[in-house]
Amino acid sequence: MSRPRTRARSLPRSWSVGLVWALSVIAGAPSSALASASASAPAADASEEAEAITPPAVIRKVDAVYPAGAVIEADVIVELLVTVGEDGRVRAIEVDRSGGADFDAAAIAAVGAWELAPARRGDTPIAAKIRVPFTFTPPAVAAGEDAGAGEGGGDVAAGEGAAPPASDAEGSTPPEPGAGAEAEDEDEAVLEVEVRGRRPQPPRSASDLQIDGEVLRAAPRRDAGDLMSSAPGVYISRPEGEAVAHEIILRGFDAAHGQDIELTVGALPLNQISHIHGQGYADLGIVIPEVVRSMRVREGVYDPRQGDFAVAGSVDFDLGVTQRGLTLRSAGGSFATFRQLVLWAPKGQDEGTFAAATVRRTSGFGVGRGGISGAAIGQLVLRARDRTRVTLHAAAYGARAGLAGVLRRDDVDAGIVGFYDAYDDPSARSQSASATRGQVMVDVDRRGEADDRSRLAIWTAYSDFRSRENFTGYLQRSMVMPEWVGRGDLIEQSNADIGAGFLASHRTKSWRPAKWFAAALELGTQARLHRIGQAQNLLQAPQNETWDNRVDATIRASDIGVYGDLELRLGRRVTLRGGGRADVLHYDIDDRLGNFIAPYQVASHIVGYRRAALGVAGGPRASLEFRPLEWLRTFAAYGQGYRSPQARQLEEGENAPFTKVHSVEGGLRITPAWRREALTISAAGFGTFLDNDLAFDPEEGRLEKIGPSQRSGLSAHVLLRPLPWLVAAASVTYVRAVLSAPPPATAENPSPAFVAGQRLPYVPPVVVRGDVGVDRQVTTLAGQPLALRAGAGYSYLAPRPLPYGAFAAPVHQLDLSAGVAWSYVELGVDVHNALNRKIAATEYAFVSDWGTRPIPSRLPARHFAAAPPLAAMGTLTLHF
Amino acid sequence: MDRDHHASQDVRRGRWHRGGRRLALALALALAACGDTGQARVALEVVGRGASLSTITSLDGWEVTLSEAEVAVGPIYLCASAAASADLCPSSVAEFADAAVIDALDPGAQALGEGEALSGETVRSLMLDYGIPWLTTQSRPQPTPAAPGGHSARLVGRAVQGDQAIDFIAEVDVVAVIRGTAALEGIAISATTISEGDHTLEVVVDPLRWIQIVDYDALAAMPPPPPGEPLVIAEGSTAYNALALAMTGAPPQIILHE
Amino acid sequence: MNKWTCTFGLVSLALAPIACGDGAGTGSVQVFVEAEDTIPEGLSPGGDEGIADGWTVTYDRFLVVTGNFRASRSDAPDEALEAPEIHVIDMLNLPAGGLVIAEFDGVAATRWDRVGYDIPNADASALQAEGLSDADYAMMVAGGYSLYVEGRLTKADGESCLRGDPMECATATELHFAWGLQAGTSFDLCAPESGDAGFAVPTGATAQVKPTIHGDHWFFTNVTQGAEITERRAQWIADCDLDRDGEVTLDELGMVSAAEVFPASIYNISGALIPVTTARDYLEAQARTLGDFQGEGECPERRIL
Repeated sequence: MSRPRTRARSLPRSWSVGLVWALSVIAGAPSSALASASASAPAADASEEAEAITPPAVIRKVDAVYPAGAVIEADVIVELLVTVGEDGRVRAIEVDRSGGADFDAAAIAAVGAWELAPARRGDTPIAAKIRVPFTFTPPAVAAGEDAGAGEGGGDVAAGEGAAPPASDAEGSTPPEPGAGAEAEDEDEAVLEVEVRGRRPQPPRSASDLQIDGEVLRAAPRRDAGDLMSSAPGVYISRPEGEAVAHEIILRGFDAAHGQDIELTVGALPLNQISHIHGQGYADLGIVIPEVVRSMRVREGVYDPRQGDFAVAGSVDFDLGVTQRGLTLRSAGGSFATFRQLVLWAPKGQDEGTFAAATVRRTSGFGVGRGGISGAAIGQLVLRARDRTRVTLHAAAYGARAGLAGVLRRDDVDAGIVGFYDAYDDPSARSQSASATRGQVMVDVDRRGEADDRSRLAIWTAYSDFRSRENFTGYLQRSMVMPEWVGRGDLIEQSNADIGAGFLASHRTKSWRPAKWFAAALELGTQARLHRIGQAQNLLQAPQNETWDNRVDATIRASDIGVYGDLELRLGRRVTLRGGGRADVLHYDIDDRLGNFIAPYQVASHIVGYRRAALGVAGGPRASLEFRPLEWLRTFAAYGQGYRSPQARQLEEGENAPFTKVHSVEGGLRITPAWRREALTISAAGFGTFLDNDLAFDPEEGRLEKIGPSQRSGLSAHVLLRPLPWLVAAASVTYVRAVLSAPPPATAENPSPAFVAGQRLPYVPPVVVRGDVGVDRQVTTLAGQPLALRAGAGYSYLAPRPLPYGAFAAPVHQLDLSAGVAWSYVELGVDVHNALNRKIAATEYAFVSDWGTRPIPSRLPARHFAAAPPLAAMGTLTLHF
Repeated sequence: MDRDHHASQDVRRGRWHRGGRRLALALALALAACGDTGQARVALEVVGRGASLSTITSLDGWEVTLSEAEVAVGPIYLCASAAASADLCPSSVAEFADAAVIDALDPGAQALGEGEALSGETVRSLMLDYGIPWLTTQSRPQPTPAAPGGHSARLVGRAVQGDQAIDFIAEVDVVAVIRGTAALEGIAISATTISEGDHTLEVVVDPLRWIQIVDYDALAAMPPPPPGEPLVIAEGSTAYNALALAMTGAPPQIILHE
Repeated sequence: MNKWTCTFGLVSLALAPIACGDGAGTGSVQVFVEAEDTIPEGLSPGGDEGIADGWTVTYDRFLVVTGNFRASRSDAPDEALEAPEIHVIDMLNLPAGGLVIAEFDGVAATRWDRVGYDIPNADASALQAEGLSDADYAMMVAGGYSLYVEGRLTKADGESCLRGDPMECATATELHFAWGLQAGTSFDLCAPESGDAGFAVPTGATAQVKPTIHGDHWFFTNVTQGAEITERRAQWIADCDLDRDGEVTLDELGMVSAAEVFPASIYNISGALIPVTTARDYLEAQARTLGDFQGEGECPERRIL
């Protein structure tokens, strides 16, 4: 295809780290050496050829991004003539060999952002013109990259120049070394560039976003959970202390500790099946935030690769370190908090190769909240010659922390207990939690000669959890000895889970029977097997004497899934992606306290109830992308997902045990071509329908069924990069969540009150998030650049409806960060909750008796757990 | 008592068609009016009443007149379950979480205090104490300050038959026998759905039904008390048991209305 | 935009049938009556589950009328499972595996949360269950009984203290009783011990629903609501043998006032369905609580029939 040549223009700089490159220069060559019409002649003078000429050196380069929407089956070659001035800046870019306007623009965009040192004749800088060829290989698009639960990244690119979320690009493969050179004139040196593009996956809906390092590093982040708050519609809190997983709200779902969000690290799932504290419990403590390169957030269930717990959506953490070298970071600040991080990313190696370890200790921001945690991650990426990449991943984590539990609102209002305190009661002061986790994964990824791709990932993980929590005070009666009552409802839960699984997928090469039609099919299978030992007891403080056994079970669970994903490209504008997924879930439950015989009952059998249940969850998932204009893409998507149940609640042979979810969305994404990387706008309207929703029941300390529900709403996200040193992202999500039918009848309440259209409690109707980051080299000090960094993150939650007609206070949370970097030292300050607001990390409504009233109330009352007040941390980072 | 009030919430309840998810989605996507979570808390004014008469004829023919009758009632928990008990009613739908004393000879309304209820829920049965609850954290039942003299009921009266007259005093305790339960459980009331707006909980005690079943012949057969002093119906005696059983068998009448 | 709406519409229409179908199938329900262990095994003294005051209880006959099983769903009130027949059953002669009193096929495979059944008074329409003798059947129908129990209390050092009076005790090592009661009661809102009310029907399989008849409630020290946290005592029956003939009759029970044999420090009669003034009233009140569900689950809504 012959397109009008694109004129060169000066482009802003961005910074990136170099990869392998071969370099030569067209030094002082007459214009005849250059191909066809170009504007300016080389500045070099033939008469000066005698002195030794050093070609321009590339200091930082940026990947070329495969143009969005363009599909060409064959390799596309673009050759540019780049004029590098005496100051090293790119003066002019000319297209010498065009590959089409899109590819030309992509190549120009990449090169224009490079930082070069000028060519020199001897010691004198001179202007020079160099030839830069790019080879764009057709992408093994989208599907291939999402194998499993959505791994991020793909091949690590040279640059960090973060690809805008909208693009689905792939860089080119390295041109044959020397081949390009041979094709040229001998006195033309050819700058060979090996450009391995990062492969952001094509989005399946307008709410399918990749949130990159710049945004992730803008606001201060304590842990990986804080990273998630930059996703639209997400609010993160940690009401149960430092050793219990975060509580996540996403798009109208109070996902508790992960019941509605599939969280993964590549092919390795973080959600735990049938965890005693809640299905889908996912502890993000094992992910060190500094090694998260980007985060792929898929809201809704439209991708056949999304598996268990993808009810509200999926979040995948793509691990990698772009800034290579050794980093030591020490942070200390409020509440005697201290954190030490050691991160080593050997230079010259793949971004996915790194090792990191962190230790954190704090006394907590209030009574009983101290904790200690440590995590370590190591990853090694090996590349073989035949385009095979092997990723080895190992990680470990351990934490123990106290927790203050919940307080009754009326007690805080009456001044009986302070907002950040805990009840002055031995049972309330005995609450704590501890968690450990270890995981290992091997991920082999092979790309074929055509754009086919095969992948096999195998993982194994061990998790241990133990908590002691008292929500309800002194209400419970022992089942084992009914005369024991009122000893304190300190629920001890333990969950030990050892599991392993694998993901295998293969994507065929594109089939193009006609110019306007391309199809590719990916088939994959995932499996996970777990052995879970869980127990729940009631303890009497302070000696931890067990006064009741509630749960003692071993569960063997397995989830085998198969999916197929078809991608059809019709012309340049329409892409249909879809397929289906089916999962077979099997549970073998050894419930040692099942068929329990109370002491006042005549024993007619032996206690214990073993049972097995099996079910199949399957459904279609499809999305349609229509691109009427270059800069506008519209999406429509539909999908069915599922969430596996709490195994102990299954009866023998029960075969429809899980929650099914139907998800629908329509949206659009705008990426103006004139500012391709500088602005992305996404907007969507969505609806999600669950046949069986869950809510936390503090009396049991776990999730209980509340009946079917539906959520509908609108979401908008804007990402701005107006300047290379400024990034801003903002999102607004509006959700209306209602119960579709009354909660199930129980013995306690045969006809739970229900009003049609009744709102689901705890779901904030509006969630606003803004992130702003500035990172700019301001000046030079003693020859080294001095950079200033500042960032802010702001979250707003509209008043959340609470049960029984109440509303929570709105939440405003502002986090600020600032730093100065010079040479290998960086000093910074992080402030969390800069407005020092009294925020309730979570709110509940249930019955409790903490002895603060002469006669206890049996009406459900408001309880809350406090979020941290203003906390400032000073950081010292050394980077070598 | 925590009462969450929402000053000006626009509570409009849409009508949803059942079935037809596409229709539901279309309706839902329309920016619907603000709604809330339902079951708003409503205030409960608790009022006590006594009997209008003070004289009754006992089963064995004595004419009994009460001169003093004080009965402590509370806490009262109204439940959605048809068998309100500590086991089946861990969470009530309406309650009077306090205790107060009723002058059981005064048929007029006596303000006992305030309670709360959840609108939209249906009450089917209730459990209550006579001023001496046995909380889970107590090793034995403790009378509340409202209990007259520390007892559930104090009944002073006179039984007359022919030329025999017995002045008696009974200080009866009705307590739960199991720690952490209520003295009276599973008391059925006609199913009432609590609507919005304030409600009144009426507690009507009729001590005459209790004194009616006492065996006065047996009391007369007992050794008489010192002159000027009434006969004390002591704990453990058959008459005491009869009164206690009557107080559990004929509990106060509880009426919940707007 | 038109093309988008059109495509979206088509896609959603195409997928709507998958979305809209709830996909539930059907299953079967089998209702069978089970006797609590205390009926065939009797009760032994001591322990938390035995008779606290040392008596041993053995039943020689235990006949119950039950039936009118019904189940419905609160989300589909028009659908109902009904088996209005009532059966007279010899609880000591149940067929192995339980006595099936109703079966339903083609039942929607979902949760049926409104479950109830009756223990009514026998009448001519009652069916004679397998294992019940003709004489017993005739006796039940003629008397209009809902329950007939016959058995013995034994205690090596047993005493009978008339009307609970410790001054009036005499040795009584064995006492016999035979009671036919017209205590027809309906039981509704049945729920298992834990979990949701009613029962769930699995697709393509059978749900087994077990109304359970308990046999020891008149020994309780309270009228239990929900979990049966109680004590069992039998002395009150022994104390009602007014003519000291070794047989405790219903008339004798009717002549003893409740206050005499149920001290308030031990007994709590709140929640009884009928007013309790005599010992016989207490027996009848407890006989109106025998209907349980799935073993130890309760049917908390009880009404007099």
